[in-house]
Amino acid sequence: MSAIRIGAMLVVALVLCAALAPWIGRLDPEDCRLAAELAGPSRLHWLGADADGCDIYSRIIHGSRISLWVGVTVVSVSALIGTAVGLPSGWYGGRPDRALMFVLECFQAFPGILLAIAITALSPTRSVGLVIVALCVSGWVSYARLVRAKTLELREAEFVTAARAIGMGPVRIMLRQILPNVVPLLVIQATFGMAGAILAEAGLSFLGLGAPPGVPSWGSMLNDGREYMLVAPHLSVWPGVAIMLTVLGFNFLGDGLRDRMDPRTRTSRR
Amino acid sequence: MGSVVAATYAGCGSAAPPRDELVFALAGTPTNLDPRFAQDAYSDRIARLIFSPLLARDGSGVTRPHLAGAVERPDERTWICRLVPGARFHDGRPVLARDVVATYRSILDPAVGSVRRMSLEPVQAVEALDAGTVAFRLRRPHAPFPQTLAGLGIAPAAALEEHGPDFRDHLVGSGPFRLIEEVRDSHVLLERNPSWFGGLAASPRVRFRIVPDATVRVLEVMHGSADLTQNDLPAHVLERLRREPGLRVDSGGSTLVKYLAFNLRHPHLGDRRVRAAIAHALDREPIIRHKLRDTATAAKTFLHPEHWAHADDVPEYRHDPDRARRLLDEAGLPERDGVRMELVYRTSTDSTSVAVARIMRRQLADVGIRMVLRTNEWGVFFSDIKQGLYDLFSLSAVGVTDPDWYAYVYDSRRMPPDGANRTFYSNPEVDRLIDEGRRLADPVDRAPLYRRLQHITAHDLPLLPLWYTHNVVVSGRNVVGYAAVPDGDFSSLVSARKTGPR
Amino acid sequence: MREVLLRRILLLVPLLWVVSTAVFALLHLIPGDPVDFMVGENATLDRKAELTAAYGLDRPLFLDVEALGEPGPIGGRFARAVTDTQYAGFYRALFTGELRSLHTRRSVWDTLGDRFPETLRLAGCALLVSILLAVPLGTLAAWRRGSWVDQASMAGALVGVSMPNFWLGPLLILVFAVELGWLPVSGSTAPGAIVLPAVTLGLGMSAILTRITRASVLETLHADYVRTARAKGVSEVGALFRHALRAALLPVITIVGLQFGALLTGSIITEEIFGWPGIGREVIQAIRSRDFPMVQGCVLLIATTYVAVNTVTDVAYTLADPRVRLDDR
Repeated sequence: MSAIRIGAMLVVALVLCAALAPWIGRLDPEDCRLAAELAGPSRLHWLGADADGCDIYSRIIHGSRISLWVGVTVVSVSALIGTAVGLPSGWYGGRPDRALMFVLECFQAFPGILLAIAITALSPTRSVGLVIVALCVSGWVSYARLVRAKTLELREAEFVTAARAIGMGPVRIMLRQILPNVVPLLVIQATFGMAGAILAEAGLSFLGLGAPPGVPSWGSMLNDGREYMLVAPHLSVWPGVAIMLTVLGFNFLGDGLRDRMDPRTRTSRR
Repeated sequence: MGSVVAATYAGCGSAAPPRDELVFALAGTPTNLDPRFAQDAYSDRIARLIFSPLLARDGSGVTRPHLAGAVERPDERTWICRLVPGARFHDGRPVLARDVVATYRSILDPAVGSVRRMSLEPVQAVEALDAGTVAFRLRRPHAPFPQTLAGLGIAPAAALEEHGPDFRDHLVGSGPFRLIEEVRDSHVLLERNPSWFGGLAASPRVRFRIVPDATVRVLEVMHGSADLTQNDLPAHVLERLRREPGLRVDSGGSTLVKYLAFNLRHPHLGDRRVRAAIAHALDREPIIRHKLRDTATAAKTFLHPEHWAHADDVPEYRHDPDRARRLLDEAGLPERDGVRMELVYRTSTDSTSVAVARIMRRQLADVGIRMVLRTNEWGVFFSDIKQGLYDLFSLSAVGVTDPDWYAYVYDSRRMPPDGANRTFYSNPEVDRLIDEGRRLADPVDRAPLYRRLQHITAHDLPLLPLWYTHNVVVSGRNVVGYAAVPDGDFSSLVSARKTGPR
Repeated sequence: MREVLLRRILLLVPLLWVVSTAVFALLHLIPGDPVDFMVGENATLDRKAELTAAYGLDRPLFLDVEALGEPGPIGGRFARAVTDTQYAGFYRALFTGELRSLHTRRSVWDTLGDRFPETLRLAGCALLVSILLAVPLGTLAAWRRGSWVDQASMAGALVGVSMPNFWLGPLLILVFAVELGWLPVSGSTAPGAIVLPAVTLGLGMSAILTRITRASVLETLHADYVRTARAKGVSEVGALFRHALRAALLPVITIVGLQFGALLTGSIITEEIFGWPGIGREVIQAIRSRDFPMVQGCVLLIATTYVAVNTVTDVAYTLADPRVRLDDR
């Protein structure tokens, strides 16, 4: 079976999980009984229970919603901002390009951790939304570079020159001619971005900046399970497997799409 | 690639540290071992192995002579310390009165910016009466002063003068160990002082290795590459470790008390009945048993049971949800759709604190109190509670050795932003007891005052003590002579050593 | 090219200024007082006020408005209003080399001088691990393109990147250090201590390197000159190694430049797990304890390294592939 098919299957499984969560996630993820804490797999708790006595299986199923939500939002917003910056930057070139690239470099050189702490600290309540904001602020840069590079390349293409010759305005050219060619690249980058966002959320949980306690995000489940690694490894194993399969799925999908698009060109640099 | 191959051969079987080096795994790194700046727990505890203070503290917080062989108190405001003859610094120079004076004056000097200046607040002057005698003159009588003398290590006057703030790179003390090497976030290596006035430490060398991750720290001790570790371990792992044949797990009482604070300025929490109701609604026993795996003991008061001023008969708040509901009804908070009121509970992101908070939330929901849990990174959390931005919060009180500690939290003249009375508690009788307890010197006279204080505050309940967190020591079976001390310091390392392989 | 390079280096200064100003503002915007971390929970305000003054933390941040209202010539007033601030104080300390950590009192540059090489050492080894894994795997995948070997190699590479390193690290420790006893558990001093953290950090990057290697080896394999070489009778393996790998090296360089940021972020977590005394841990601890000068020092160092790495990779790319003009990047 080809990579793209496996990837697609995993992604579809994720989406189905998220959509059907209230039905297939058996127990209420908040219904935790202390007596069940760290229980192993049983008939009641299919995958066991965590340190608060919550059912791991339900939390994983409901966690798929969080992962999907975080991934899709981060990627969409980042891609949007990135395109808004990269497209004009590549098209106009010269001073505006240099100015925008300077801003981009500043963003890249800025420590994302500090930003993540600032964002979570400045808000009175922690939420998954804050995690998304923190990831977007550091995420848009790679999209901008990608779009800019492609725009630079396409700027000299024949069809664009032709469009200019017949008097098409720059904005129309950007939107009608260049953007449609950029979108496939964005889609591929987005699939990798989804995987990256899920992993980044886990990393933020490690630093204490992730989803608030109780929210069944896979990243925070993985992190919470760390201290029980020696006594109850199943706490970490299941969210770890869920993350791994999801990230694998998106990576396979992206790889497959990229291969299919143009297997012989060098992978775009930025 | 070569390093991988080399590691494969070199790594085999060389896990255990040498017999004459005791390896202690620490959760965090000391920031500054200069006794004038050593404020965080790791710095302070390691600094006390390098620098000897005038007095030493025993397990239950009682002070005894150390570098000062004798202490006299000719009048209420004067303390005279006579130094033990023959004490020397690590560089061979004798410890003289002028070294004590130089150390204390350096801390008192605002230009030095010492973080420990606060603890010397009552000191008006310090001077050398002769080569071996130091006099401290206080602004006013201050009974807990011996605690201060026991908390500060003495540094050589000449070195302080020569190096100033860079003394931290040229540390010389008179303690049982001297500093060989300090690499921040990696390790601190100590070697025993052959001419220590208190004898000879049992182990030739002690190495503190910094291992921040709790699981990895446990693995180090299990694997044998660390011999000892103390506290900062997840409670569940301890049970597993007790079953390991090569390890020993000891636990003992400590001065660390976890408590719940009420904001008395809150419209409902200002009513004592509401606070009592919350105390009755909480059930500590399942938390201690399940979440903490019995690494804590329920507490009624902040002074631990062995303390000389501990009052055992203070009012208790047993788990009684019916009583809680009755009290809340009486306080005019009826149940509407199962909810009587909403309270904001603040805590840091520490996983145990959060887990405990979530259990408490369920217990409070049982009597109709909805708790909104807000967890924040430490800096933000502490900043907010300092300003009173909370309804409930939970913290641990550290180092409650002298009952004068109550002045921090209950003195009505010490409310934020000036002080640490963050509950905004005000009781003139308590203020009077605090002042009086400070003035008297003899514990026999002070004890009844503090017992009365504990009774009053247990009734008024601005703070609810929850439990004493035990000190837990995990060591290899071949380590002898080390026992955890209630305030968690490392003084026991002086008598700790290894008896051969594990 | 030279002028573009020069422009890049000159732009470093305004970039550092913008980044350090943003960090300064952000640090002071976040609640949390470094003096609290110095004195503990029960300190009185007047003692804290002393310390706050001693460390200059009570000065206004950017502009001392009161100084403007004082008597004296306007020039002097304005100069005082601007220079007697924390912002100016930071730059003063920076340029006189007197930037000291608030908590350790040591010079920030001394500390960074000790810690940064440790992180570089770890990152370097991680890179080595990545390359050693990725190049053979990617080449194999390209050689047997479309077969199960291809799929398996790519899958294998991806598994490494799909696991968060705070999960992978303790797992590796459990297996290789505790169970097998081949390597030390943590720390940076024991022989072989670098292996596990380098593998943990490098595994993530190996996936993308494998992908890149595969793509560029594929392209080279089908390139004319390779076909010519094969037609001439040079063995397949020989052709592969000589031409394809050489071509694969170039994208590897560029990916390294791109992934440098990810390496640095990954090192924060890896260093904490393994107790590695590098700059990742220092930055986190400094931020948590609001050690403003230390955070600033770290940020400046990281930003400079970042720009340097970017510039070097750009240059390397342009040198290797003259078709690409530096301007376009």
